Amino acid sequence: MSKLLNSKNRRLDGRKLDELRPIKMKVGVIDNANGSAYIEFGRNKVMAAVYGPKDVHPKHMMKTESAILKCRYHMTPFSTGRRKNPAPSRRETEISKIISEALEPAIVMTDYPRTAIHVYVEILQSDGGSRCAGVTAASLALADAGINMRDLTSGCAAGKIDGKVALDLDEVEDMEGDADLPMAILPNLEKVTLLQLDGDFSHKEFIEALKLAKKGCLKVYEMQRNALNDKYFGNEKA
Amino acid sequence: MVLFGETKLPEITKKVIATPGEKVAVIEEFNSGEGTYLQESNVRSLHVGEIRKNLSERSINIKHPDSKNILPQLGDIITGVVETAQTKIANICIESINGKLSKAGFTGMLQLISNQSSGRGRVKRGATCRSGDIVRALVFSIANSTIHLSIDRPDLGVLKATCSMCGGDFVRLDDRLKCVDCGFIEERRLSSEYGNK
Repeated sequence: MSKLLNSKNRRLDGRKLDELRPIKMKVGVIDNANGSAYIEFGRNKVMAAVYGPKDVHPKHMMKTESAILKCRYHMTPFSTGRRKNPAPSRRETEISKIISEALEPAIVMTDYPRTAIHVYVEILQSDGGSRCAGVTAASLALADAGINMRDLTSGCAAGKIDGKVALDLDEVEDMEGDADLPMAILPNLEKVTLLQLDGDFSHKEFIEALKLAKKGCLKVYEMQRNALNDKYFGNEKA
Repeated sequence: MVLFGETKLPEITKKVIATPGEKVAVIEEFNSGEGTYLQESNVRSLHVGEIRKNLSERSINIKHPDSKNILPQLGDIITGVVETAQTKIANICIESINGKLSKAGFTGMLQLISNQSSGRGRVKRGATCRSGDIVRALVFSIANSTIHLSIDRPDLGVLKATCSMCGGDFVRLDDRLKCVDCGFIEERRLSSEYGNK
């Protein structure tokens, strides 16, 4: 097994165990969509766009009391080291579903009866943790579209590398590490909307990883707020 | 295990800008107004916007900077294209809401009975509008999540129509229209602004 931590507990990219990768966020990057956002989460590059609320097709999917949320997570062929087949894979179908489920509790669906909200998450470059970046970008795009939301959804992962719990794993750490715990929360309402676990944790490590992931999510949330303020109020102090 | 409740989010009651989910007031201070919702005893923001306090009504509102009017609301004026016109109803594909372009593709239902009575309780077929016409209408009800439209006002009705025989342009003859190409005369429930660009 390759060594992912040095003697000073620093990771391969020089980060501490509880340090996030550099994050950049921009809101309103696509003119044709109702709302959009672009996020760089380390080497991840994610674009999200929202269309709607709009008419539902096919009509039988319409809900009379609320909107329906349709989400598509897609990795571009050039997002990975080896060309990725652009056709939707099992993994993408699963992530589309979990992103949709992570976003739905945040949206006031009953405000838009008989409509559909379409969320498109496009991974331009992938480097581990793209589902968390996708949820974060999609939430920003929904807020940009002016859709009524109970809270923003912020995502961040924690994991275990070389037997130690670490925040925000990159691709190498994800592949070579012992566990990965992606998480998304509604920070103000204090609710977890996405929690997955791939790997092994002891009970103590699991609690530690949860707390670390939550800490990361709150940092991501602060950046989301700043990105929205930047767009609408020109960095006016919130 | 207590996951939440340890880290406090920054206090924001004095802020002027809110993002979705932020606590903007407590219910003892202000009622939940437009762009806000009540969660337990906290008034929280529903979208990005400026916090506006209405001290006379003791309510707090969030004004979205873009004021995106994304769903047709009661009292809105819409412009749309007639998709299908039947004896009693016509389906209108909404293209703009209060002058703002809408790409959402909503369909409204225009009831033709009250506007179309010929005076003897009969309905004149096709006299109000035909498919392809551009109409301006008022949203008078959104009951059962259906957008009900009305053209019962002089400025509402057909704004532009083409000849159903040859597709040519019309000239207005009082309440009727005459095709400039084939001379065919048709009836519509015309807006007072028919033909204006």
